[in-house]
Amino acid sequence: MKKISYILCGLLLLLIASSSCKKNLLDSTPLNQYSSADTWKDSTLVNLYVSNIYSGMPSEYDSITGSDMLGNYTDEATDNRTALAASYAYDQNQDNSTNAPFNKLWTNYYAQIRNCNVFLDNIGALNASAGLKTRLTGEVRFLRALYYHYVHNYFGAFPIISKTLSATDNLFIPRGTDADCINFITSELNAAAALLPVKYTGANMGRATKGAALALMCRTYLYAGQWQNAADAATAVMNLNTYSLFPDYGGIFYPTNEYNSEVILDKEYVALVASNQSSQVDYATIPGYFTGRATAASNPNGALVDAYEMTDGTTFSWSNPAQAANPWANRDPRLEASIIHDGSVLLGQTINMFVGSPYNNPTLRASLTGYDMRKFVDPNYNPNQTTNQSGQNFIIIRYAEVLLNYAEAEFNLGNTTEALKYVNMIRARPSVNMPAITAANFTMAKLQHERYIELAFEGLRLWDINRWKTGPQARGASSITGITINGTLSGPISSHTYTPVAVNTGRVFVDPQMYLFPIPYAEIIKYPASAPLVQNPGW
Amino acid sequence: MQKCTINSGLFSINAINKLLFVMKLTFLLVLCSLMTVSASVKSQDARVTLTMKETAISKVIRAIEKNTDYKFVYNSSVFPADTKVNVSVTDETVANLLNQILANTGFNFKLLGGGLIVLTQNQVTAGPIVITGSVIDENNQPLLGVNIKIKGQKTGATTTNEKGFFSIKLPDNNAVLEVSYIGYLTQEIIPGNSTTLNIKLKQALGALNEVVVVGYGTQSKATITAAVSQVSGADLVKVPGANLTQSLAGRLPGLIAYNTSGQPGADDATLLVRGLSTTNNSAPLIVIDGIVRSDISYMDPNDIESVSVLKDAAATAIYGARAANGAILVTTKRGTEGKTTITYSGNAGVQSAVQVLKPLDSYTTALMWNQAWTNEGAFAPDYYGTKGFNAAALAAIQNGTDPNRFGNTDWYKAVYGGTPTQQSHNVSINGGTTQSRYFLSAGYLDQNGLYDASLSRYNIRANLDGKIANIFDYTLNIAGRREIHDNVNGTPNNALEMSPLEPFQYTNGTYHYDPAWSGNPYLEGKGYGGYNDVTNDNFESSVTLSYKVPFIPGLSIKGLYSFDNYATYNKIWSTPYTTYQYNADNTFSVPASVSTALASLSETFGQSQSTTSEASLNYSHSFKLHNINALLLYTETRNSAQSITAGRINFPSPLLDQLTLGSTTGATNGSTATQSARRGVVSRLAYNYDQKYLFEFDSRYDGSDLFPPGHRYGFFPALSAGWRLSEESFIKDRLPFITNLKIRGSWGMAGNDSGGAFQYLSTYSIPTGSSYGFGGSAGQVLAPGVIPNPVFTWEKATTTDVGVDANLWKNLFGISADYFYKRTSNILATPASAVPVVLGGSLPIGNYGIVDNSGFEIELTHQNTIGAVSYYVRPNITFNHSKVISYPEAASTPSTLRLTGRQVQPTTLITGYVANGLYQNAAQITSGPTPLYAATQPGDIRYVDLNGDGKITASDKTIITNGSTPGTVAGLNAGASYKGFDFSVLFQGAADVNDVIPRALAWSMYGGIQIAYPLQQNYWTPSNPGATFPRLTVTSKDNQDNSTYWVRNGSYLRMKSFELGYTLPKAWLSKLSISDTHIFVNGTNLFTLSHLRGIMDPETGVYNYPLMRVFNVGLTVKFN
Repeated sequence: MKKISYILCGLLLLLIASSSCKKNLLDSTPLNQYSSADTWKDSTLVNLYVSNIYSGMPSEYDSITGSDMLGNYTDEATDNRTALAASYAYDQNQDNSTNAPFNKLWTNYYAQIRNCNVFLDNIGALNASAGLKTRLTGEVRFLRALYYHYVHNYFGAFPIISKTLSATDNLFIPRGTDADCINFITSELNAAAALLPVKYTGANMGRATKGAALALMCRTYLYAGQWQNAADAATAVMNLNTYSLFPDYGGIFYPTNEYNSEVILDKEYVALVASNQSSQVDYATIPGYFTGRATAASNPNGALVDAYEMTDGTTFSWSNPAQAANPWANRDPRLEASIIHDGSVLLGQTINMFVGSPYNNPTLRASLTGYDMRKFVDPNYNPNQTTNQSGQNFIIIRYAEVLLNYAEAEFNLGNTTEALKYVNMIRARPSVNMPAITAANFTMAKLQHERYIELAFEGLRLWDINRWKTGPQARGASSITGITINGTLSGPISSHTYTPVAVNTGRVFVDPQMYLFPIPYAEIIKYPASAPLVQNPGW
Repeated sequence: MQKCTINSGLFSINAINKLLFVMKLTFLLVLCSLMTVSASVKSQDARVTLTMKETAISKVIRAIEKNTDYKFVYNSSVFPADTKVNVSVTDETVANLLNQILANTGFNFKLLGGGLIVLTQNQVTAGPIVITGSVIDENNQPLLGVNIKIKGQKTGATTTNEKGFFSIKLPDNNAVLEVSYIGYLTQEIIPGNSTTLNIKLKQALGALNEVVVVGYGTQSKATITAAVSQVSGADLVKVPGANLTQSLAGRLPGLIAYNTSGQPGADDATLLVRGLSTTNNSAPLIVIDGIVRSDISYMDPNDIESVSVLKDAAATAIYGARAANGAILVTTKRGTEGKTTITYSGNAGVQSAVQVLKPLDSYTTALMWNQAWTNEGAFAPDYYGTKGFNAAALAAIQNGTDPNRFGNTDWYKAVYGGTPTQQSHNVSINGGTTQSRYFLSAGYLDQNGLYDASLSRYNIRANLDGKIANIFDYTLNIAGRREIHDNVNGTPNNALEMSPLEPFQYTNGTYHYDPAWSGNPYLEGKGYGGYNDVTNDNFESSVTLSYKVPFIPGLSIKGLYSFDNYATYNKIWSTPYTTYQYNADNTFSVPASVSTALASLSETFGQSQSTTSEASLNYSHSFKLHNINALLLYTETRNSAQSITAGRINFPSPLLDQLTLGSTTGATNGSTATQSARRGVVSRLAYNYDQKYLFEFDSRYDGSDLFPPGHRYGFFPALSAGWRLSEESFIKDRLPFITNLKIRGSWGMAGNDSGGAFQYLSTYSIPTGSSYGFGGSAGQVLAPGVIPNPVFTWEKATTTDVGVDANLWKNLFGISADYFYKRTSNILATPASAVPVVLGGSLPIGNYGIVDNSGFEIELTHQNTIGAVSYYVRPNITFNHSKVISYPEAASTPSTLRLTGRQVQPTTLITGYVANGLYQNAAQITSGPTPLYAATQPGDIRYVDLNGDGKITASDKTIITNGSTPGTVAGLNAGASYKGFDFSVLFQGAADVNDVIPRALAWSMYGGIQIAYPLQQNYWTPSNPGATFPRLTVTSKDNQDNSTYWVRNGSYLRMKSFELGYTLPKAWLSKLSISDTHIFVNGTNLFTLSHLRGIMDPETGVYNYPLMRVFNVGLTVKFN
């Protein structure tokens, strides 16, 4: 008995002792996070860090399913989700600085800008080859400029932050002047261009190149109205002798033609559910008939469809009975590549756009304009799959845009002949083959028209309208039109006739307020009266 | 006063007197700092004026008692009380008067402290005599620590030892012994000529006898100085809900409980102790049988002995870092010595939704749809109703002539209209000997849902107590529980926004496909879309071993080790099911995405372990009237958790749901892992003098790995004191109806360390769900963590509490009331609302903000027996108010939106505009202020321009409601029994709470949702200017902002539970060895009074699974 009690006594003491002997009990470390020190020593981790910065690049594909394509804020398209669509309410001037559709971008882009700053402040210590460090530095400086470029597009002049800030630093940094902002972006792109290679191969395809830096510089100068600088940057891109127009206009975007000769910068997508790097571009674009979902939210504007020229270069007109009877015949081939109209063939099916037809089903939200969007839809897309994932890269900058930028810059510099040469180069693309514009007919309007057609739905139109100050026409009350299809539901497509109609989407363009999006209200009020963050006019 | 010379061995009497004086002084100082004290001072040298002729001495004595504070004690069997005397004195001292009347009686008197006068025989033996004896309880068990004192004397008291023995020196054999023990009736004994006494104490009945479970121990309700409320398990089993958190509502003052869902297995009520006092996590600490554990929701109420809520710092400081929001302590039942008892209790019932919303029929809805498009100026009717229905469509809807296109479906009823069953059973075995005791229990619960969501629970428990080698005491608790939370894969609650125009089922028997939700919510409720099941396997165990140190009486050593393991297994099986679209050409088709969809599966295995090791020294001893209880304890806890998740898609067949059968293309997997640790040193020193003056000091020195090195440890002290006025003779003697009266006060601090881990480190992680690769292949990305904060520490809650506990006329009336003031500072939060996002990173938690919370809670009890009827009524009410003292707010926040200085709950408040009715005409709009939206029309809500700048902007918003946490909650628990019948009822309610009408019940038609509820028919039109709802719109945002227009009073009163039972006469059953059989019917959520009738449930709203009403029958049988 005594023995037992000694043993138990001992056990009790052991229990007490064992529970109080681990000195570093509280010194735990994260099990699934890398420390800062480890990260900046390891070039593989640093590479993944840079990938994260790339992952925030803007893409219209993400907007199709997420918020709203930028085209829906312009005369390219309208959203048929009416009250559910961010663009629909914004276009109706129903938004304010608390609920404007791009409020989150102010946060998202500055988060990526910080990521860039952190990289640039730490890359020096990385033990890696000078070549790798140079290239990565170039990529990150390019990316930072890219994010600032988009901040500028959406919100205008911005607070310039070029180093890693801590929470205790003065964060009430005022917006820079517009000139300072443009200077910062372009000088960064200049530096990046010097650091970046012209081309990548294999597993590095998709990274920022010298061409991307120069092309973005060209666009930035163009948007800022610095014509000579824009022309010079465009010339520098051309002189790389790397890019050319891809012969097949519609095919530029297809997965089978990834990294084609026209692509200068694209956002990478990979077609696997598990990759978390795919988009739903096809699934969200094609009529709901194929998916059972109320997809196809971007309805192309009838006015855009009407703007595609006849193959002979003349203007289409509904008042021309022959043209009105067969409205999509003999048109600029870019129409067929970009638009689904009544009688279009998509994925092996002839699309009947009569309201009530399975392809334009009111229970799946019928098209408001009578058209659906085809651009970006992979002709090999198989809607009969559970995943709906697309691996098609989104092209952020392509060579055709650089050529059009160059043309516009030269036009504004008075070199119309040089400008016309490049516009006609676009029209002469083999699959497009539109007749050249004659010098006599060449106007700024023609040039703007060419951008409208060539770059439709690519997320650039809004910035063009804003810098051309054509908001009242292109984003105003009567900017959206469509067609009514006459006939019967059961009748063949050939029996349909069409009437152009105005589509009342309730749009209101407030000039000049709506040329810039508001800086989020929640941010504006964070700044003290002594160091305010000045809101955009009208907001 | 007679001078005594007894040595206690540790203190001389003089030393004790000095100590006592100092202590009294300290006590008074402590009390004075907390409250105003008023107490009457006693006259010591009373004089009397008395004239009585030929009167019995006893009557004279009574007259003296009446006119002075003196009390007389004498042995009536020997004292000649009937002897007649003549008295005639004027302003004479009592001593002189007594000398006069006792002159010929052979008795003299002795004036003792406390105004007690003892009449003793003259021939008494002078000098001290020694009395020895023992004190036992009603079960003849010796009682340890019983106070034995000489009545009227402040010295010479003693206490019984472990065997119940005592020895006391008396001045003479007429001294009166007062024998008292907490929870027992006090006895007075005059030993007379006996020198040995065997005293049996009787248990006191009622509240004072209660033992209250507190942190790391128990205390008597009579002497506790902290604010603690307790409810017994017996009360909790009367609510037939499956979730324990729901059963707690309304029972405990200071506990705010509200429901957010009625879904089986997901119906945890939100529990808050004394409301919200931080912007951080406000959940109270959960402690089960002394171990910090996470979840009480699914404990079997049959296993529960009591639940106590620790409210003030005196109660919570002992849990240091984690108890700033109070603590809920659950204690399970233990075995009792005696014959084995087997108890079966079981019940079964039916459930139904408390509030079933009934939408308008499809024709009325269609007309409202047309009105909405007309209001938009975009009415373009067609047969499909895209922008309005044409006449043909309306006729078809009204007459039901196109049933495949236009239904008249009550989707809400289809999904939520059922009456599912529930049942539960429990068998427990209770018994033991002096050497070992056991409580064994096994339970089963099955609760079905309105759709295929259900809960099954299996639980077992073994709680053992015993002795090892007569030296050690051990306890061993082992509990296991399996919970199967079944749910459907899908969103049946979409039914709330499904239009009645959509047919439920077509004329050919097939089911409708809704494109907005990609399916049919009714079928998803039936499990057609697959399932999302969670199985939790919980194992909780603890062992303690304690040892009473023989050479220091009252000292014991205790060790504890506990190990818990929680395993969770989640399986999400998504299956395609066939539904049809009805096409414009009157054909049916299966959408391509439906016909080609394949099944997919995702499984997650997670487990977490928690170990707690504790070692403690406990000292409990009484020296005369000094009672000391001290605790010193070291504790450490380690937690770790791991999970693995895996999924596959494209299963060739939906028949089998095993991972290996899915396609390897698109397979996913992932994992998580965390660990954390805490340690602390706990101390408690409780001292009371004569169970009258009560003091306690509690503290905890606590360490948490949440904080950066150097900031990990915190000290949390609490001081409390109490004064049992009812033990003072001025109450005992003068106001004998006051059975118990105690005032108490406390001050102390507790901490809160809930927040994300490693916020002080700069780290990078690979987020799941993010990828970016180049060259056509996916790649990982490395994302930064928070911007580290190198300096932050505990959130601190400092609480001051004053309270009073009283019982009048034994336990006829009881009251317990507390006022508290709590300041939570160093609140762990991120300053996200103040720091510009151009910083670019995630902000870490830091110490920001101060919130004050004050409140009052009171519980009244009344119990009585009139004839054969016994009844009780126990109402309680809790008020609390939070005020933001400082908060990291944006520098230029408009004053109307500024939280600092406001009486608001910063985490749940809702901001919005102030509404001033509806615009009635265009002139009102144009006369300004400029409306929020350009498209504003008559019939839209008219907002107030708070800042007077002539236009409605975001700066005109203000705080329109505090959110879902009520500021006042109340409960009323009542019951009665008559012969074999018993009845109990619980009402529970809340006030000082506002709700915002949710989307579906506010804006019908908005966003294209073609559904409306009866109240929404009263919408604005020019001919209905007094409407309660604004004009109907589809895309116009004008009325969708939060505003006071949509705020409603969220107060409610519910009959939370009701039980009627009958106990069968024992004679019927004794032959079957059945000692007790109780049969009952009970119910929960039987009726609700609320301002929100027809709109929403005041607690669960409308988007959540409705709260359930349950009718139940059951029985409890005891065998022994």
